[in-house]
Amino acid sequence: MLPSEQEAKALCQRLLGYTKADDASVGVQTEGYSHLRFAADTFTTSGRRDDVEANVTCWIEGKKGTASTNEMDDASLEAAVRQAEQLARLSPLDREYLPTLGPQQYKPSHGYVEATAPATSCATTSTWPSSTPRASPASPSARHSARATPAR
Amino acid sequence: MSSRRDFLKASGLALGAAALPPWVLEPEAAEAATVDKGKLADIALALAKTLGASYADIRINRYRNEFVATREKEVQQVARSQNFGFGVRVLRNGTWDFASSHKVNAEQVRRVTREAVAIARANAAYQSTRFAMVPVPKLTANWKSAFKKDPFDVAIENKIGFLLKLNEAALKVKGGSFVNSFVAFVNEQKFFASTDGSRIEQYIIRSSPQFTATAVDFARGDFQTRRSLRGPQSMGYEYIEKEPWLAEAEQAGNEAVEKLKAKPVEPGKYDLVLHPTHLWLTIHESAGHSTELDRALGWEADYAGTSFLTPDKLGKFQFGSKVVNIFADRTQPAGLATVGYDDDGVVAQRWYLIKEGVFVDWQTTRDLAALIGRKISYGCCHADSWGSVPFPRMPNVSLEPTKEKVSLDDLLADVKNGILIYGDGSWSIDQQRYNFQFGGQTFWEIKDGKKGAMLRDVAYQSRTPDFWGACDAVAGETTYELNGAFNDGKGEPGQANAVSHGCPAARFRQINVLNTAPRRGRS
Repeated sequence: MLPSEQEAKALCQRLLGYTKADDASVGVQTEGYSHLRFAADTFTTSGRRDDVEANVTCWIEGKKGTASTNEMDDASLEAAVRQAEQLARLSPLDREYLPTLGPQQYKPSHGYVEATAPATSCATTSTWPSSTPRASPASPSARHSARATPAR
Repeated sequence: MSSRRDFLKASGLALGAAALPPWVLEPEAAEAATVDKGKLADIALALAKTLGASYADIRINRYRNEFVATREKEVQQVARSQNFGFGVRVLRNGTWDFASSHKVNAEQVRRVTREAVAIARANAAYQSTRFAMVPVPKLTANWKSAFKKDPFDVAIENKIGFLLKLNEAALKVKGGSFVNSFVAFVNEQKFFASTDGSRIEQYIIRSSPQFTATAVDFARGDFQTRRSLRGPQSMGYEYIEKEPWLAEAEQAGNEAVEKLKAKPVEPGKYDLVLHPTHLWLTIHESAGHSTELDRALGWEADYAGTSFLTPDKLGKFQFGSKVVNIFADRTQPAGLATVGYDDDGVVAQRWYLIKEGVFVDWQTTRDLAALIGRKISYGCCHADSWGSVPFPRMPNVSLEPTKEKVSLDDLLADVKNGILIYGDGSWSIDQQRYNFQFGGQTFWEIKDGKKGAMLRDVAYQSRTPDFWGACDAVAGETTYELNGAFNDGKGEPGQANAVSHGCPAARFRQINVLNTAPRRGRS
């Protein structure tokens, strides 16, 4: 199950809450991806993947470190943040550093299509209604992502 | 089984940064190890059988990546990532399917297994080819790739220091302008279990250092680059420590500057002597990909392409000259595609693809082997993630050296007018792997048997059987080197495969060479 926008935002806030860095940018991307591949008049590969990634980039005294994980429990998220901070401390000055932006207002992307999201390869091959727009029937994919930077 | 939180508390990870070891995610490897993989495998495989699968396997894998990039005196990026999850593959009614999740627990294993079987059931209605698998023996194994020093145990400061020294060496050259460098390290921790009864664990390390020196002629508006010649290896941090990287960085800086003033090549037919740092890529593109059976059967026609080596050519087609022996080998020391076992549970093997110039065999997986009536698979099944479908991928494919004592100088000695090429450069090849063009890093005249002045803007063109047919000599074991790449792409959705290609230096007669410079740059 993909998280809602609010759940993804909450995850970002948890990540930001762990960091003691001067500046940080965090992102959470979740994915439900399924595919069905056809060649030589037959199906060759087919499959489904559920995944999530939390990534953290932080700056300490102008030095940058990045880490990511796909384990979403509190300890793993905190460990990823600590690792990004540790890498930042070890890194030389990031001369191209620009402070992250403050809170922004983003327009809805409308990238999520309810008709596509629940589709599986089963639906694709056997129950896809002929009237449904076939935007990408062989490889329905739904992705959610959220990014956040500290409020200043 | 203890929970993640219990484990982390017990290990002290939850105490904060002060208690963290240098590799702060390392305890998660131990935590991943506390997942009872055997028990989860039992759940998945029994359920798949109950739901009608004739075969099923589960892979529970953890991947770690580290990347450090620098430029001149600056560190550009320091990043680490880790990824953990499982995938279940089922064969039901001759139809494959696969499902996966990053949530590794019994409930998710049951859900994902049911999902894989359900999709296989749905797809079966439209499946025109019913797949089967050649048998394999039941295996219980624990395999580790050959490395002395785990790069994930080496402090990040050492890696940064190494790269900055490389940059310094390349930049101290008079006329050197820029240098980029990086190190990338990969660790795969793989668990495989199948309804054949196999239980296999593997721990694989790969290391990739690389740099590019750039020299700029601001007056002429020209620039030239020289990239490092050695490729990535399935080795540990000892690969960084044992090779003369600093000397090569200085040489690269010098050669980038020298390329600015080098003589543009005159297009025409030349005898080519190709160094292993160059020839590996030509082997990969022309021999490695053309002998993939799934390509020959049209399974990759929409993306990676097909092969001019159609099934009717097996055992008959003269691919190259008599001195050309090309073998596949997943056991080759330091090979990027070297494993103990593939993702079908097949033990790693070595076999000939081209024998005395004749195309004699394919790269196969268990289902491909069954499809063409073979009794065994060569073990070429691979997935780049727990969340990716295992499918046919290239093993290490290499050119065999001659057993005689033949050196690089021996190859040069019999060339009146030729070109010696080091390093891989830009390349292009058609989707059947037939017509191609390859550049390189440095190019040197060969005049009357001796290496001469540097040339620039060289690329050669040929057709695969013409090129390998023009190979009249391969050098001996002392010139043999292994090179390769982390990121060979194939499949939809796309997957990356790390693969090596070994070869000695080799000589090719009368190959068409062109000048690749824009017209304004020609003399």
